Amino acid sequence: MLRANRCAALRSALVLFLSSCDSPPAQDDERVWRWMECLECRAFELDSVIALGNGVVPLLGRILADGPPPGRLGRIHRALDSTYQRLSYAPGVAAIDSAEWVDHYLANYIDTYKGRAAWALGQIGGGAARQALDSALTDSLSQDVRGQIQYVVDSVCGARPDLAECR
Amino acid sequence: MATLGFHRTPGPALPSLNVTPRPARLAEVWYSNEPAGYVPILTSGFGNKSADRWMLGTPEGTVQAVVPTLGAPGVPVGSVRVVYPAGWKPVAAATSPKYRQILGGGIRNVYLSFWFRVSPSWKAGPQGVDNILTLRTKPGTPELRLAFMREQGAELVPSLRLGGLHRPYDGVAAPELAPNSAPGTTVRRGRWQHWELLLRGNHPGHADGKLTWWLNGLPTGDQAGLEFWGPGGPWIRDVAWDLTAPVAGTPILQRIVLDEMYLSAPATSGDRIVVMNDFESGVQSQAPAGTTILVDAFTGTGASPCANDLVVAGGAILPNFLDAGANCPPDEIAVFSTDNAATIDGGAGGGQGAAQSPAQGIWHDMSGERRVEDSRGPRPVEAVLWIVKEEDSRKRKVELVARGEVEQANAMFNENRAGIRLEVVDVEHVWDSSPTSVAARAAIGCQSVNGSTACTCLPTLPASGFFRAGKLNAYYVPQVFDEPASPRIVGGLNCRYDHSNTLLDPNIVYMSVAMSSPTALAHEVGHGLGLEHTADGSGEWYQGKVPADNVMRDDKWLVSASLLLGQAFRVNVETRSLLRRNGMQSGPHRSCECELWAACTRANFILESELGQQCPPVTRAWP
Repeated sequence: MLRANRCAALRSALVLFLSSCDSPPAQDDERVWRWMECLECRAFELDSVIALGNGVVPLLGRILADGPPPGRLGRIHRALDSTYQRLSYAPGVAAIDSAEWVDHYLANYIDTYKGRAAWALGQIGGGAARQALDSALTDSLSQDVRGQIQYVVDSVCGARPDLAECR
Repeated sequence: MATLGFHRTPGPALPSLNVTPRPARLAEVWYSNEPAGYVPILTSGFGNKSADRWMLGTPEGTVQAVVPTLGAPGVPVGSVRVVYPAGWKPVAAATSPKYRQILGGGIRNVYLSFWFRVSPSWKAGPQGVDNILTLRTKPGTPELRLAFMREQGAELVPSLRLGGLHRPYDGVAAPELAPNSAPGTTVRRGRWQHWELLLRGNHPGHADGKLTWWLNGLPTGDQAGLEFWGPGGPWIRDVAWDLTAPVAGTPILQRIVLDEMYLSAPATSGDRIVVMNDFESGVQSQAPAGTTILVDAFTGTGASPCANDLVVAGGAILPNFLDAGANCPPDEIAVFSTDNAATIDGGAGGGQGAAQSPAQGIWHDMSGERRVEDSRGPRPVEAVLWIVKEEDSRKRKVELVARGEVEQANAMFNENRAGIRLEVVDVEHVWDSSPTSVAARAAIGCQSVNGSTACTCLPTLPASGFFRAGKLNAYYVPQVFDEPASPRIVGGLNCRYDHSNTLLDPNIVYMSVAMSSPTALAHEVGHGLGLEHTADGSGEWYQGKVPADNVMRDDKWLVSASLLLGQAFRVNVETRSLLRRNGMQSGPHRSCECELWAACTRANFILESELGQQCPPVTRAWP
């Protein structure tokens, strides 16, 4: 699906999220959120998530399927809206329509979560992780996230073809 | 006194967002006698006394700073009312209410406007006069009483009294000027009166100064041939409502209400830096926004032995964080001035910073107040944007996004006085159907990964044709991979060091089109300017002192960001900053951060206590 279409769907979903649900997933773990939110991720954020093992796979699977929790997504959405308004005096910002600007970064935020969930799942491995990755590949994903998932699957199974989940 | 020299280099146009905007006029229509080209330096509507930053001196009577229902005409809220009850007597030595603001010093031409009203029963003070407003050049000097009333019979005559003239006027040291344009003009009790005055300073050595004033919009007085000050000043420094109290024991209630103070001066091209000597306490509450004031404190017996005890910027004290201790600074001071940049001045003795700071040399002679202006704008950091995206249909959008991120970074740098701004000098689209795409892909360090593309720092990039030396090169690529051997997808990357911690180039920045946040470019440029993380996956590094939106946090996906004072200092003087690498900063510099990329983790960052006098703590916040 084109990214723009996904953003439109996302906007609709977001309205529902904002009006109904703001509770984090059951297996919330700060280490997962730090891996999701870091920019350069040089403090072993991924390793910390991998260390959580199979127990964190369900949470990562939900993130891969659904993106950030609604509460986080809503906060980012509101922050993007207000930031655009604050910066719209600048020609370089105003050259992009408000909705397009917000959608671009909202999609980035979602792709960051999904992509990093895929990376973590690939590193943790196991049948459940592989199933989550395979399932995600059948969903509507941006090309960037799809590429990441495929890369994860290929790199893991390329190195360990003997793993059960790679057969 | 000697005229100051200072570096004046024409600067580029300032960004559209200014960190210290001048105050707006309260009501344009009131200032019809204001000369063209004057800009406000003080506006006070007294809707909020603290916000207006007026200092309350020693009050007599009952001072009601904000009186909601008694504003001047057309003003909905706020005035200052001073009430003297019947039989009022001073509680101590004869003093009077003083509402004072420092204007920044060095002002030679000024337009002022204010409103006042005295009660119908008003009686003049002990000398038959009531002072209302004064302008002063320095504490203890005779004042230019530019609004006062002399009681003549039953009438109050508006007048001026000029104390502290450099040369007596017509043989009189402190002449009193009555209305000469409209003789017979009086102040009407019980009515709002609008007072306007234009002071045009004399040229050095010439008695060509002039005063023109108006009451209720009508020409009232006009006096030329005045020599207010000598070649070295001192010029106007502060304004005060310096009210004369009524005669003690007067058996009637009296009150005076003041409102809508407005001063303006000819527009200048830069911010103001002012040196003040022997100044009394309270300066921090009086410094107008946009002025940096270097204060040599008065100890009670004389000036402090230190050249600069305080730096006051925008109404707040910035302790001289290069202080060597014992309240006596080393021979240097860091100044955040016009260009919003920190500069280190070499101080007395011609220190190494003397040629860099706009304040150079101003404390070589501390015998009088000084004012310098710095017309430099933020340093332009030339940037080339490389748009590296496979899909032709999206490259225009990616360019717009990139330009928007540049502007957002500039807003953040400007709002936080970083003293720099990114200036896009070129945009290159290197990834389209052209024959160069393969070469570009290899040179920029990108590889195809299952239909997507990921790029990373490549040591050979600076030598390729896809890099501009001496400029910031920001590569907007589909995705960014850190460390190809153990890939992690990241939002951005600065290639100041390569993966073996060998120095590469802080001018290389990779930005992930698919994953970056709006502040990621500012973050990566921050690394290029010598800043390190303040938080990461291990937590916040500085005991909770780092704001949640700090641009160098690496534990949050930030939508908007800020810089701390300690970071703004480093941006300008850090040894590793790309400013030095690109030849933009050759003055004093500091190594405030850890030396190696790999060492700059929470466990290894330099403790603030180890910084000594070289650098302020990175967490030093803006006051």
